[in-house]
Amino acid sequence: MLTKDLLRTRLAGNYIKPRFISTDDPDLQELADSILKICREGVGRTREYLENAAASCAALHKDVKLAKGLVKLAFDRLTYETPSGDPRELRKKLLRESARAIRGGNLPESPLDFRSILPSAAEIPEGGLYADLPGNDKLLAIRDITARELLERYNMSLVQTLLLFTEKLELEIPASEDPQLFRSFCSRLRFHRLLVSARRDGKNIRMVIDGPASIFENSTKYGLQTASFFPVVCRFSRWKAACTVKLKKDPRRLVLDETSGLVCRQTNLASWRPEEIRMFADLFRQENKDWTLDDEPGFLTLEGGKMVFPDLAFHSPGGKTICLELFHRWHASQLESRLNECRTGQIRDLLLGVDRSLLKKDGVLAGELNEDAYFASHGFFFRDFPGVKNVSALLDGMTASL
Amino acid sequence: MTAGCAITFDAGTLLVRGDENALAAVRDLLLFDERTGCHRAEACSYSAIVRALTAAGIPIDDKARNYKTLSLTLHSPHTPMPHQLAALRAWNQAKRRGVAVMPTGSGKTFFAFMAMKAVQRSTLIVVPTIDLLHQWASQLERAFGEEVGMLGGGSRDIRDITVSTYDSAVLRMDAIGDKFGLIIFDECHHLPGPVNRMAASLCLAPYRLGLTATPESGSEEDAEESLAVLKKVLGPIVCRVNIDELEGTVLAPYVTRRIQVELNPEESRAYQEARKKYISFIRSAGIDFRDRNAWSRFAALCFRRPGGRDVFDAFLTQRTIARCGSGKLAVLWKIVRENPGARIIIFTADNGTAYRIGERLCLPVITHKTKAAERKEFLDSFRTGEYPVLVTSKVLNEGVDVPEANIAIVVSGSGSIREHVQRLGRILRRTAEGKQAVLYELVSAGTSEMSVSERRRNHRAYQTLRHLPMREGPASC
Repeated sequence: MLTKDLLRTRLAGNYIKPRFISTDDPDLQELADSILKICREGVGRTREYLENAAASCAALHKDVKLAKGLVKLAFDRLTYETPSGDPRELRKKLLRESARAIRGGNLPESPLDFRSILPSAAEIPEGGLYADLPGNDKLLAIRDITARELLERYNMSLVQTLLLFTEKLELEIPASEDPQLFRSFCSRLRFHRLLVSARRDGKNIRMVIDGPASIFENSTKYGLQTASFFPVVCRFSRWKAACTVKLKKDPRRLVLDETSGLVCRQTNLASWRPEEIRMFADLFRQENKDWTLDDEPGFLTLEGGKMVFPDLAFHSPGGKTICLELFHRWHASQLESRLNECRTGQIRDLLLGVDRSLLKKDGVLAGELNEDAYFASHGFFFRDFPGVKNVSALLDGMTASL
Repeated sequence: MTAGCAITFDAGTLLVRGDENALAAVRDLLLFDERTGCHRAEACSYSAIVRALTAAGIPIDDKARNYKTLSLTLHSPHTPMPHQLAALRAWNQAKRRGVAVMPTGSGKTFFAFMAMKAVQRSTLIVVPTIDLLHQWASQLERAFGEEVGMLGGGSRDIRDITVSTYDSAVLRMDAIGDKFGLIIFDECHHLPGPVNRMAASLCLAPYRLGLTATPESGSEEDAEESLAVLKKVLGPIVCRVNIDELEGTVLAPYVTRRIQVELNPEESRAYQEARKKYISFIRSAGIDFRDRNAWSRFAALCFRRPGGRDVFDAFLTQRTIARCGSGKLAVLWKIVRENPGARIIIFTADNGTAYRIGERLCLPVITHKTKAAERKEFLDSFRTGEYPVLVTSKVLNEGVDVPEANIAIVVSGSGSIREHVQRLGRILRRTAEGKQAVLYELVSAGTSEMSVSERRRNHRAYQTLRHLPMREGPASC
């Protein structure tokens, strides 16, 4: 991401608009290439050298702030190593000599003559006493990208940096979007411990994304999580996002959609699955040949448009589909809400798996679950990851009762 | 019979369940969360909720509280001083919530230990820097003979007594906010920022203590807002002790001396030239540095307007000359020569100046770039007297305990009153042998430093007769 001072935006009434760049612009591609070239050819050179070289390159461009932003993003991809020679011992020696001289009190009148009375000073060139400062670290490697990718990342970073100064993100996505994209979208939400309130509104799903404490205090505490989460939104073919940005005193609206030209270059989004779900899915497929497991299920829409995103779905040979949602220790409020929806018939045939660690913290909920008729026939407890036998028994029991 | 209320901790908030009658007693503290279909409260409202429900006779099933009652014994040779006992009484009267304003060196840490001993609950201490994290942890271990957990600086060890940095506390409080009955914020003037304050609001600790020497900062409006935040998340200011009230008894006696240093002719010429260019630019652009956004506007214009980069260079040139001209180096050296047995801390406004002085005079320098091991070595050697002089920019402004220091030389600094008071505070801690503390402030004559110096001295610690009038330094080095 960029730093605040590198943001390029313009104001239009109550709106703030990132000054996106054209990734096809030959001038910018050349600039991005030059910056990446400094990095590629700089392996073995010092951080200070690279920073100076990049700063000079940026200073020559007509838009210095843009160029500095590209430098920042490119430099975020560099790995440095500290020089192998450790000057600390020599420094210690000189500092001790200097300290002894000062304590002794017999000092030359001019500060410029002080070094000359220290025996070890000759071993360290002037300016070399602190030669191991970070500026002297050497470039070890670069996670290389193309010039176009750097420009794409710049546009995404403009948005992500603005999102650091937001309290919540409003989204609108067509309900007809690929369920697998919804799946990865929900995984990322959980990964970043964000909360979503979703409503079906005609053909679209409207969502508000923020954190648990957002309802009390408008805080940007969740800004970093929101910014890190945001790229997954750009994988949908159609989307609208809006938020209020508080960069300075007056808040401004940021509004974006699929025409903004943002490209999500993160490759691990769709494939990211919680470890326990992957382990369960693998085991289930090995041990239960009657049901087909779908680990990319879609979503359920409740009356009033509320959305529920189960973790897994099971299809019986007879065409019946039963979904499973898992609740971990930080999902107490979601579990309570879901139980209520199941009890009142808003959701049917949803299996509920509850991690025992959640109950440790909430004895009331544990008591409620033990006495709950819906949970008795549709729920189970697990530790770390769900048991295949438990789930198979529940699936078979539910089929028999149908 | 009245139905009960159940409270659970959920990611830095509280979920409160119960029938409508029971919830009515705490209605003002709850919000219905439509995202999850339940009533939610701020974690910091925990004690208010419990008190209100108890007062209304509503049974509470409290699953939120996850902290322990401890049996702490304080092993310390110190006897509580009158101002510490008075502060503890005031804090107890305020239901063990509030901010204690005490100067550096007056025993804030020991006062915190007194509060911990009084409360006897799992305690989290939140500090602004890694240095303070380690300093608090080792002092707590000595005081209570218990292993202390640390959160921050690469450690993630949570224990009944834990010390955390502000950053780590903000990041982790939604997971650990139920584990502490007492939360102490050291240098709590860092708390009111929109993100830092979440460290306090996401924690349910019913007992809260803020420690600072300088609760107010910035403009009157900012100071008022900061105090309001502190009051909301920690409680009211329960005691206020000033430097001059403790000087000579709890704190070392001190004098401050401002020395006006002439630039040499070459520096003076370069300064005037650069300053002229810079001033004419900000005038033509209508930039007023009393405006909060003036600096970003200046920087932005420098990179937009033709010739702007030259102006930016001119700005840097005049600032560098004023901050550390050759005259200042000569005066600094003179002070070092004239005080062979002294323990001296040299403060600068920026790292560049600190390293220039360190290189020239072969002195140990501590900045945020100094690695942890070497920082510890420098501080330890300074404390033992092996290194009589230490150079630093801003990292030693607050918190770090160097009781042996008796001379501070402010080579350059900002206009911040807080910074200047904190720097004075570094040399005021009394030692067994007794000491006379002296703060020298070097100001480049005829430069903008004169007005900057006036601004930062606007505090009662600098406004009594013990301050010697400004005197001239040597004309050149």
